[in-house]
Amino acid sequence: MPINAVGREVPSEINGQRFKPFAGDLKTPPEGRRAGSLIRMAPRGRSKVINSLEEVIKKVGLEDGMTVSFHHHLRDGDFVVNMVMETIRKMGIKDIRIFPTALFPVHEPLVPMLTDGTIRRIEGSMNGPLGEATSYGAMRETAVLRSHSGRVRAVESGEVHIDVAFIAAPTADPYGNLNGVDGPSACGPLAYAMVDAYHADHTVAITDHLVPYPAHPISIFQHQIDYVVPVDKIGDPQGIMSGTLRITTSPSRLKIARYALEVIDRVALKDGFSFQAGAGGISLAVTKFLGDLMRKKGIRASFINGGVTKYVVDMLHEGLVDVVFDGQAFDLDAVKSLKEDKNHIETPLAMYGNPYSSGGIVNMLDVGVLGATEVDIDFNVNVNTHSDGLLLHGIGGHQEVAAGSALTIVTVPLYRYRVPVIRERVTTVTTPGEVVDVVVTEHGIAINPKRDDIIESMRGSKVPIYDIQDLQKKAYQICGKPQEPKITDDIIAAILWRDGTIIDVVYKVKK
Amino acid sequence: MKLRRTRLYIPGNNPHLVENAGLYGADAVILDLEDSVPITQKFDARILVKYSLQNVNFGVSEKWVRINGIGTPYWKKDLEEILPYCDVINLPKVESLDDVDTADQEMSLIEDKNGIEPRKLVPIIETVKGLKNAREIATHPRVVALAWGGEDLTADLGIPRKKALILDYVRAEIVLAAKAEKKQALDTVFSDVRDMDALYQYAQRARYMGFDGIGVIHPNQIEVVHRAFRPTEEEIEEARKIIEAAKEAEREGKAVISLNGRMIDPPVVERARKILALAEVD
Repeated sequence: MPINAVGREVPSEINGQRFKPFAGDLKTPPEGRRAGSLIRMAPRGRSKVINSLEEVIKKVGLEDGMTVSFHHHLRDGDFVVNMVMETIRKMGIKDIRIFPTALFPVHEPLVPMLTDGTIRRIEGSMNGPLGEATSYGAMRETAVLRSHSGRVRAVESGEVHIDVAFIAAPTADPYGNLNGVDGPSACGPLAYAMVDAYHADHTVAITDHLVPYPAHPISIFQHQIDYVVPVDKIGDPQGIMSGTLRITTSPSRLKIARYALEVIDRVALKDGFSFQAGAGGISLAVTKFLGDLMRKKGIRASFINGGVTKYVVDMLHEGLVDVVFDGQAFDLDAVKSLKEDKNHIETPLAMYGNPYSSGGIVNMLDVGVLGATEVDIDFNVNVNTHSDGLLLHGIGGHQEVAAGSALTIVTVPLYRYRVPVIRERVTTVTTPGEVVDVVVTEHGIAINPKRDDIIESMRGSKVPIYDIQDLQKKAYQICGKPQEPKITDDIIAAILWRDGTIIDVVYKVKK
Repeated sequence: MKLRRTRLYIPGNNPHLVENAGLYGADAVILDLEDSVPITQKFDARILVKYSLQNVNFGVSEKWVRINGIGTPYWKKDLEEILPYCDVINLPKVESLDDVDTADQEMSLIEDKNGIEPRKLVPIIETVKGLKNAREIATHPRVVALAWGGEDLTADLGIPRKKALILDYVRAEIVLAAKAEKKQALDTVFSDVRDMDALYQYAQRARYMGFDGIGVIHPNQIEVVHRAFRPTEEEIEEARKIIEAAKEAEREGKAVISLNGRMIDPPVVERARKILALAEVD
């Protein structure tokens, strides 16, 4: 097997499909033309509303071995994936490839379908039980994980062809205009689903809020939707919206946020700057503190790319930022703002960061603050596996934000539960060190040596600055050298870099 | 004089908290062997504290240990194990100068045996008798500050802590006893770790009462207390003017310093110096 640019041995073929080894960010130029979907027609008078999932599955002609896709705007409150897959299972359709933007613990009912022949593989992020089952070898074929934008690239390039896209729609009209800002299961944008609506051979909207034609606003337009299936409920609002997220009270996490803020302040904070917001504990604290600092210094941001939360909306209303780009909303304030505020803009995932397009939002980012499960002394970052080797998280937008931002900060505790987070070698490489600039821990920060400019800007700061090796040694001093995960030689998942090359693989874990 | 605006209490039996104690920039960290450690864990906590003092980086924080009181069977062993590795001994339930002498003698023996510099002592006044003797206690050369504790004192008086009217008097007495000997006075902790506004008020009140710091029980309290102890902009401006006037008087060889037609006494100049020094601290 070839060794790729981050020193990992990776296969050239996954599930019978050829992949190139990772050669460095954007070192593998795109080839060919964009892929298309089946051309369909809808004559005047033909109803798109179908009252049962079974009927719609028959109508779209779903067969053994086909690929179905889902979006994850309903997150851990989603009912649609389980509902559709259960219908497929009951209909006896086998060997399905699921191509979700992400799956969550709520999708645990899919675990038995990995072994009963219904699902042959999942290509998408698996948070929790499905990832764990896959780690122990439950999936027949090899999982393929892509970042949000990498997934868009895969669809547009034809690397993955979607036969049927099932699109959970918080609001739909009978002719297939959809939005996510109204209805009992409102989730905000429908950004993840847009590429599927455009490129799938067949598209089915599933809604619990059917409104008279025309629905408005419109996120996904009628000419891309073949059928509309009304159901009782598409999700549980409790799992869709996290409620107003609370900033961490952990003193060590707050310390990390303050150090990250100091780096941003010295390196990037100026009128018109831009940053990526998120909803993780530290990320939320950074957003809040950054808002406070901007207010104090009288600085205004040009845009925030979200991960939108109340904290971002407050900044928009206060005039601290001109525009909010929204690919995902985390609370009801964000949903309300997306509906009402003109300068809060829903952005298709293709615009967010597809590396093989004419340029994504991430290319315009000054600052990206990201998390990790592990970081190593080459600044490589793992967000997928834990140190025991289990595949428990998706990639999200980590790769494109890290690669796109002028200043990429990874915030992590030095260790978790006495397991070092900063280590000699990460269990899995998700994002290569070449696109990571600063690692921030509660003990101090490490700056990528190739960023002389940041090293210079941080001179005279009170934030403790270490070589990353010293942070790693500090972690080992406190926790001891971490144990190697107990894994076999069987590959259970491939981690693709945003350009479609293989950056790493995940191995089966011994029970 | 060493700043002691915040002293962060860390239970000596909790390795995770001990490990991170130095990260937050408290002026002092107190590893506690007394009330936060159950009797069954006294031995383990002592060993943990001993090794933590040697291996954990406490950053800018002065290393304190609150040992068990001299009325208990633990205090001598506590001292023997940890004294060589800490800066300050925090001694609870001190009631008289004799108590301080007793601790002092034991500390001197250990210091001689280990060939180390004398460690400092901060007694905690938490009984009525201790309060009565506070002025005497403050005279001991090893004592660098007086601290006090409300729970035991109000229990000793038989009044509920929250309704106790005597506490302002107690605070004043602690400040006077300490300041008469040019020692620091340290106020007790604020126990609501969520209410940062109330903490700020509490700390600012302590400052204007004459205290040099308060105890903190959560790292998130540190920044708030340091802010409360920072002189206000008006105070800093006033102090600058006074120092400038003093310099000018010195340049002109005048014995009397005046500012805007008012005479400035030497203690006022001294206070202005302290304010500016405090303002320069982050």
